[in-house]
Amino acid sequence: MNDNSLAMDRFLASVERRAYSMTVMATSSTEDALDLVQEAMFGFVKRYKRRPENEWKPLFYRILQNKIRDWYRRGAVRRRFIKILNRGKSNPEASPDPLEQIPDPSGPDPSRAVENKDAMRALQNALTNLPFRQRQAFLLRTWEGLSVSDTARAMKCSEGSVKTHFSRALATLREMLEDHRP
Amino acid sequence: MNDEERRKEFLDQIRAALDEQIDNLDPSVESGLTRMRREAIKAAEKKGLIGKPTYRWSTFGAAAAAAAVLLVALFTGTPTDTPGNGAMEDLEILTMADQYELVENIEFYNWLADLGPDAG
Repeated sequence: MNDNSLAMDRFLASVERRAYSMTVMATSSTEDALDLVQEAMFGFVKRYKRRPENEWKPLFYRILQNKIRDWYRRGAVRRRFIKILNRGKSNPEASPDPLEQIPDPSGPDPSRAVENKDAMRALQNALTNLPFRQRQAFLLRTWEGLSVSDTARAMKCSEGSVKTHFSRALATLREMLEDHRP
Repeated sequence: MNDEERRKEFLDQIRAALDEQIDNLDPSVESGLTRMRREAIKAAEKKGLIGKPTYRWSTFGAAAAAAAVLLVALFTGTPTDTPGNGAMEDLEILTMADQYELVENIEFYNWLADLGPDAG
């Protein structure tokens, strides 16, 4: 790979895991999440490879959020409801629960491991149940570390909207995770 | 601890929990992400979208010279070689060149044309 390709490779490697995780939260499907992240990577490299590097992150996430929104429009909500209704039933084609892929942390205190896993599950549930735009704003600001202006760029909304979505998400998460705070 | 400190602590805890989660991704997911990333870059390199241009300077020089001749002929009406044949040769060379490369360098050709018949 040449310099330009290396820079692009480094950038995508730095965001791919979080992008995947965010997409799993949005779709509740590891397979769909991989497909959407792949589409976002291809779309990003094709459209924005010549933009300055400091613009890459918001541009990549804009593409990813558009892919997720398109996924919703294709009936994803209906599929999620079907999954919820089928939960507990035998369904070999169901996507594996991403939480089950988290290994139990080993340590001298098994009860602590259970608490940690419960807290993680509670966090995942809380984030997954946030409204789409609130989750977007919260994860891009808090986890990806985007500024308000870059988040607005990724979400294609105003900076004021970003702040509103973020503060609402924070308030909801605080309420839902109160029992799990140390 | 004031509100701002509590808020920061809460966000730090969430961030740490999410980071821990992705540090333990399933190996099949990890390898899938790596594969997709490499394929995206490879595909873009093949199309000449990133990395070094696919053309060489010698080719660029020949295409630029041919384009300049054609532009000069078009703007000044100066015949090239044998009437008809020179322009056709130039056109043939131009159509053989990568169209994307031609479009990308259109500003250069316009500038060259602005310099007049003595350019190049």
